[in-house]
Amino acid sequence: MSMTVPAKKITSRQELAELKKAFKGHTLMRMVSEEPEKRREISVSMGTCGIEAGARDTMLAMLDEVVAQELDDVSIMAVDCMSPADDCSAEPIVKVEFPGEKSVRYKNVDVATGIEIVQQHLAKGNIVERAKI
Amino acid sequence: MSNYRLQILICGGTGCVSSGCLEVEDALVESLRKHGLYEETKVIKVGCFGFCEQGPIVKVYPDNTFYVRVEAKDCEEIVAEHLLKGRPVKRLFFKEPSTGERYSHHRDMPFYETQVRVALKLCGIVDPENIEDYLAVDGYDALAKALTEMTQMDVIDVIKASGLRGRGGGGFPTGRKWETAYNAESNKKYVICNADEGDPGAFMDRSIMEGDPHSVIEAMALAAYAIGADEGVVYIRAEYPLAVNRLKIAIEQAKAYGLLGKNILGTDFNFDIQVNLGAGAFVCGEETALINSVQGERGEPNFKPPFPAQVGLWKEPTVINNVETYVNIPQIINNGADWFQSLGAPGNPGTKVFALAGKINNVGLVEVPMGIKISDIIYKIGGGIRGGKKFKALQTGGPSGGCISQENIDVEVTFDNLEKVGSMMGSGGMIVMDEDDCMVDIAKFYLDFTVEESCGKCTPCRIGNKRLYETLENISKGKGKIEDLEELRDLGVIIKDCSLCGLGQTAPNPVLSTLNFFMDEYRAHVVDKKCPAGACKDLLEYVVIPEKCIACTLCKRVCPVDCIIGEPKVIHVIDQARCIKCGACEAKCPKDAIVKQ
Repeated sequence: MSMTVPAKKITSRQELAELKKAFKGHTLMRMVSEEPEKRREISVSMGTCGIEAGARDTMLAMLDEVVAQELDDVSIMAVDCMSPADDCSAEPIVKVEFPGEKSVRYKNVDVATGIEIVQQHLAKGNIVERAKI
Repeated sequence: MSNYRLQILICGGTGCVSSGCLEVEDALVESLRKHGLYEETKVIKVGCFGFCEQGPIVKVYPDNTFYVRVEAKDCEEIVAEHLLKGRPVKRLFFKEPSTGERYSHHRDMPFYETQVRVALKLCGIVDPENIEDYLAVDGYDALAKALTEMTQMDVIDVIKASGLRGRGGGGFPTGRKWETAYNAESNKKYVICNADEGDPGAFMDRSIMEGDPHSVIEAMALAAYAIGADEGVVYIRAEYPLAVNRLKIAIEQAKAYGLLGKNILGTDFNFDIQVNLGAGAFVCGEETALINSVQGERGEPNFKPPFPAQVGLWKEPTVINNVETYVNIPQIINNGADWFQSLGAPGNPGTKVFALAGKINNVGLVEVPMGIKISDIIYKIGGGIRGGKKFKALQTGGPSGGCISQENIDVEVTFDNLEKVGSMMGSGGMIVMDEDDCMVDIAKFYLDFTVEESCGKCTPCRIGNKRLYETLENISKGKGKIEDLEELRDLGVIIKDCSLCGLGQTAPNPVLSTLNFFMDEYRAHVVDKKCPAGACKDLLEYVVIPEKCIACTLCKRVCPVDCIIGEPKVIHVIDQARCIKCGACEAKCPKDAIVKQ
């Protein structure tokens, strides 16, 4: 049983609302995924060359940053190789997609660039021009 | 937000457990560890996704990929290819039998496209063993709203305005039941959840309790608040160990959080629930028999009125609702009566869960808006009749229901319409029959069940149904007379009129409805001594067509009773006197020279 034993019983509607907020993260991914039109996506190219170039570190760093920025509607997905014309030197490649908008692709996304993309593009809507393909 | 990149949901309903989901879970976890993905992935066992035919089902978020018939040996590929490298394993996608098309997402599949999930909304989404998941998706909000903003009568008014009718079979307006109990004067009242799901083939209540037990608990608390009760009982059959276990865990968790017990949410509302295990008697689904059973007496019905809402458990006013009825209630309180009325058909708002089974391509649990056409359930959701055979009938309402024939296939499913065509809603079993099913045999099957389950209190039910069964058995053996058909009808009507409870009042229904719609088949049995569907063994013969027989002796060699006469180059003959009609010769013949007639 995975439940943590509550510190104390809920004694008001207010406390229930606060608890609900704390647990929201549990099911958020499932609820957001059930409604794809509300979801923003970060796709990380995870072919062999992507992994070799550090795509997994980039992805995990971006994930931590998404959590730190409290971006509820963002999901991070590993996807098949996205290299343009087999240009493996562009890896790791990251694609950012907002619902109903044209996607933006970034190349050579190391950990620092990945974090910058989350902070700038996802959180504020500013495309990180220097890494854009 | 959690730090999980991936969430993997494995169906942990009884159906998928028996098709091996526990092994799948172990294999997944092992592969995740091997590839270093375990820390970033959360694996959760959830409730039924509904598509039991295709189990075990595994769902991957955030992609929302839907894998079917996953085996332990597939897990390494899922982890190494999909989770690590982002290449979904296409061979595990669902393949639509009629078109051959593969689907990666459940919402595009014809099986799910037409469904509307209200009662099953959280089944397959939340972790049933973790109250935190339920709280995260607005769990217990409806209770909080009722306790802080609404009077008892407000709650009852909303339920009345929603038009919710009991999903256990009778279709009685839930709000009116609550109002009667509210108006009954007593300082002790009870609420009961009827989880004694007895219809053969029906498993919607079990799936709800296995997948979303907190919705049941919250709804019972709402009912208790509305009528002024402080004790609740869930009467559930002991044959549902997984549901019992998850329900008990859920009750413990709700108590730990103060959502059951004294002074709930700081108000002066007290409510507690106990779980009562039933031995699995069909009659105990009848509310007065159920109450007797809870009280430790024989599970026999009492005469109504008085109704349980006036004189119920321990002679106190008691509200009894079915599991599926209950789970609609928190959503009605949260979303309002108008929202509920906007679903379904006039006079029959909301949705209904059906257990779709029989000779149909997509077997499973489906939830549809009331008013959907039967043909849409069979062909759109169910994917049509298995093996391209011809539809003959749809049995609804379980042993109390009846058969719906081809001529009524476009009827819109509501409580009243199903009764008009000689069947009933019941708790939601739907069994599809094709040309190979004999309707006399089907009637016999259901009657066999009710004869077995009759509590024995009323003579017409105890003895009458037995006589009905014997007559049917004679007919299926070719010993029937034409007068028997009239007698079946007369006796059936008498049993219905003279029995005390729902069991006896409905037990002859399968016979009466098949007599109405399939009289030809009954006549063929008694007049021609033939079973047109070829199901009644005593009425058929396996014969060799001499023109086709190549005298190879293959049939002779498989015959278990050695009743085939013949040798190489001599056309074979079946000795009918000794033939046991096993069909082995028919299956073996390379030239289709043996036929059943």
